[in-house]
This record gives sequence, structure tokens and C-alpha cells, in this order.
Amino acid sequence: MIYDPNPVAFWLLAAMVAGCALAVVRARKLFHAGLALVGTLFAVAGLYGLLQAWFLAAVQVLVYAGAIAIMLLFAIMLTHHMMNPDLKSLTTQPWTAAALCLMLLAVPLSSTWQTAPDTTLSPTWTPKCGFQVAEAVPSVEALGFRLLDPFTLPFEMVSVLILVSLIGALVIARRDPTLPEPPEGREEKAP
Amino acid sequence: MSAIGLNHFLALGAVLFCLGTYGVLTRRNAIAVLLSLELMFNAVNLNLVAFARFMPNLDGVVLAVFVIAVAAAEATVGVALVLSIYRNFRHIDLDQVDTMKG
Repeated sequence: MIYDPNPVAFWLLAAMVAGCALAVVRARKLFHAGLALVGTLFAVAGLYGLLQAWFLAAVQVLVYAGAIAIMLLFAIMLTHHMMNPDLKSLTTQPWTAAALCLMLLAVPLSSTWQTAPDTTLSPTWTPKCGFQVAEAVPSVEALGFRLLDPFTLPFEMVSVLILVSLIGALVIARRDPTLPEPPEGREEKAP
Repeated sequence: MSAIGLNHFLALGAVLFCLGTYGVLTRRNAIAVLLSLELMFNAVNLNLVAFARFMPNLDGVVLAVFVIAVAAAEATVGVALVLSIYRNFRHIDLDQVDTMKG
């Protein structure tokens, strides 16, 4: 069986990813940007499904769209009046940044299409750099063994990292009792 | 419509990464910068998973799992920092948080 992702599904998900990501970076209301991020994360999960990485699609929905995005939305709601449209969240130089990013985009795009022009034509293409299209879908069981056999050290380090970040977040976000209360009143408008 | 190959996923990852870079460069709000960072993490993960699928190798998926865990840790500490900044400055405008500017 040759792996051949459905083009219609790919283009739909790609349009959703690009559109939602554009909304994330351009939306005037920050809360809308957060909601667009959730849309992007779900679309990326769909792309993982299209790539037959089922476990990662589930992790993406659970961890990213379920936990990280909700935490960011909570942070938005804790620090802003909901739906405040006066928030000046774009700089005065969007065109400079856009030009820089377009240049950054041109490099990988030109190199991928120059070194392997045939990938777009045939899914059975055997590239010069030695990739082969995998035929069998890797199972979750294989992923678990892989995680514990050669990747034991990074696996344990990640658990330590998560524990440290948990404690660090608690310490950073805790109110320092020796400091005086900050002045009340919001100063959300940039001068 | 031609068949979808590895290049399509890589190009989409590049587009997503550049949109995230654009957001990091242009946004002044700290949370908006965090949102854009998540876009960049997702672009990297998309590339990793695409390579893992088109190469008969699981290592890309394993690395993507690690990236997701690190992204979760980063978002936790980032949100804690943002809340701490907000408590001290009453705003989270990165252009005005310049106490340590030389």
C-alpha cells in the first residue's frame, strides 16, 4: 500500500491552518486571536491524522487545544477587559516585519522545491536524499517502546523539566507578601 | 490536483513558522507573543511528523512528543511571568516593560 494523503483534505486543512494563523497574528481583539489559535491547533491535529500519526493527533488535541490554549485564554481574560478593542497590540512597523518574514519564507520554499521537484508529482517518488515512503503505519505500541528504549534519558529529563516548570510557575506567579500592594486601576492604553 | 508529497507539508510548516515569526516581531502584547510562539512550535512539529511519515522512522514522532512537553512547560512559565508583570505594571505591553533597559 502506498501512502497517498487525500489532496482535498490536505488543502482544506492547510487553508484552515494558514487562515487561523493569520488571524492569530493579525486579529485586533486578543481574545479572537486566542480562539483562532484553538482553530489552528485543531487543524494541525487534523494534519497529524492525515499523516497517520494518530497518537500525536490525540496528544495535540488533549495537550495543546485542551490545556495550553485554555491556559492562554485564561491569561488573556485575567489581564484584559474582555473584548477590549482599544488594545494597541500591533507595532508601528508591520511592513518591515512582513518583509523580513517573507524573506525568511523564501529560503525553505525555494530549497525544498529545487532539491526535490518530483515529490509533488508522484507519491511513489524515491528522492535523492534517501527517503522512502513508509508503507506500514507505525503503531502506538512501537512509539511507546521507542520512547523507552533509546530515548530514556530525554524522557526522564522532560518529566524533570515539567516538574521544575510547575514549581517555577508557582513561585513566579505567587504574590510577594513583603512587597506593598500595587496601585489599583488599569493602565491598558499605550501612550 | 496533484498528489500530496513531503514538500507540501514542509511548505505548510514554513508558512506557519513565518506567520509565527511575524506575530512575535509585530505584537506588543506579551500574551499575543506567546500565542505566536505556539504557532512556531506547531510548525516545527508538523515538519517533524511529516519527515517521520515519509521516512520509515518513528524518531520524528518521539521528538514531536518531547517538543509538545517542552511547549507546555514554556507556556506555563510564560503565563506565570505575564501575570507577574501584570501585577507589577498593570499592563503587559512589552514596549513599556523596560525597567532593565541599559
